Amino acid sequence: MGKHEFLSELEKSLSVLQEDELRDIISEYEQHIDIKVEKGLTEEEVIADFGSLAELTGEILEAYHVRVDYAAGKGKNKAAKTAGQEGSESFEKLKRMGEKGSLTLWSTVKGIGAWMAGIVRWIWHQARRPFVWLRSWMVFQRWEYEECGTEEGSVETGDDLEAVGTGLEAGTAAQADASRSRRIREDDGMGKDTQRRRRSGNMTENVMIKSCGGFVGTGVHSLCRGIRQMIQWMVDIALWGIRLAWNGCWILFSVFAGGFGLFSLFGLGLLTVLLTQGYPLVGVTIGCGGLVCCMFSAAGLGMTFLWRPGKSEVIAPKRSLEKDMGEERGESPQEYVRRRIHKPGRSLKAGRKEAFVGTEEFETLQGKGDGQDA
Amino acid sequence: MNAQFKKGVLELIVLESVRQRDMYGYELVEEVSKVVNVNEGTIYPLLKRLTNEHYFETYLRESTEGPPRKYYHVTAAGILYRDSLEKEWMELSERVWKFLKQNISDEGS
Repeated sequence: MGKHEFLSELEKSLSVLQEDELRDIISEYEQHIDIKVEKGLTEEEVIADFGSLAELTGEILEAYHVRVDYAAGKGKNKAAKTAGQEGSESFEKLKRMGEKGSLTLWSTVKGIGAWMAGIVRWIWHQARRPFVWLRSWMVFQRWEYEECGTEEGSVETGDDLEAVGTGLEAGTAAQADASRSRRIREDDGMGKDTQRRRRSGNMTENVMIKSCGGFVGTGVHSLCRGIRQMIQWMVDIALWGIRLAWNGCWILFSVFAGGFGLFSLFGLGLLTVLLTQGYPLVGVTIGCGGLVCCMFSAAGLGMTFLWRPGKSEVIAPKRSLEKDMGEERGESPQEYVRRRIHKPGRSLKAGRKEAFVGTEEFETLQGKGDGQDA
Repeated sequence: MNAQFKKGVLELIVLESVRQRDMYGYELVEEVSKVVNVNEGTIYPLLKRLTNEHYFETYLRESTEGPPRKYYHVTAAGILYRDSLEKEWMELSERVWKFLKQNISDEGS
């Protein structure tokens, strides 16, 4: 067996090893053979000195902690493979790599696409918000025109929507009157402009004034309300941040003081034990006790500095019809609801309306409304 | 020499040889062959195993007689391992020697 044949056989039998390891071990044997040949031996003699190829392979594989029988099977299988099979395997390998690469590329492209779609969606949502608001406002204006144009002298604001809507739903004259009365009552607080418009007799002029006035009034009102709300939010956020920082500092201080107090308490216990054993540690023990008290007091003091929401910050509950009406009769809102409003098989809204129709306030408002209509 | 004996002490001989000075594969085979007559092919797997277990580290050095040669250098872990092998070998050989000596003296008396 010549050098090349030997190395080729060795390479086949060690094919289970990694490529670089295989190259390394083959080069060692190749170098060994070359040196021996330079010294005058023939290739066959040198290879014969290596002994059995199977034993040599076994020893090499043992050095790599590889099972010899597995490697032999692998080697045989590999040797049995034809060039065509190897070619097809290489092709399959390349194909798999290509598929993997395209899959990764597709995932990346898909991720970027989803991300961009999200951005576009967000921009679209933000861009159409003013238009949505405008459209809803226009619908409201149109509804207001159609509803109020047929009733001379009646002027609605945005808050009248619910009242008119509920009046229509009820479908009775009394309820419609109630709705109108409520509108008129609320209009009392709307200022001179509203009163002036109410007095105008010409329907067309009235509608025009309503449209323009409603447009300007509602717009300015909404704008002011929005600005006020925004300022309120900003103030709230700033206050929240300041409160968070303030409370965080004091909590940290308290935790630190409390922790140090616990540590001092441990020291106090230790010193007490030593004191009972006769060590001259009276002064230090008393000092440690003072430190414990001081630290726990500081922790407690820190907690008192926490900024908690005061009474002024608690949002007052909204006054309701039930509360107002109940108070007038010396009843709690719950009792009033139970007595007057809530009946089985009827919605609370309808009950509230019905309850309001029969009251003195309703009569007063109705009389005022009729007088103005006349 | 018994192959099992040789196999047992081969690691110690290789470690001691490389501890004295860095050597390349063929040089080491020659050095070991001076002590025990072993199959030359078995030294390379042993070197590989000791390298994989970090008792040796390798580096390439240019040679005037051919391609660059891979030299083996013993690490600190290799020296400790060599010392432990030496201790084990000394204890074993001493016990075996005592046992054999005792038997010989018993037979003589």
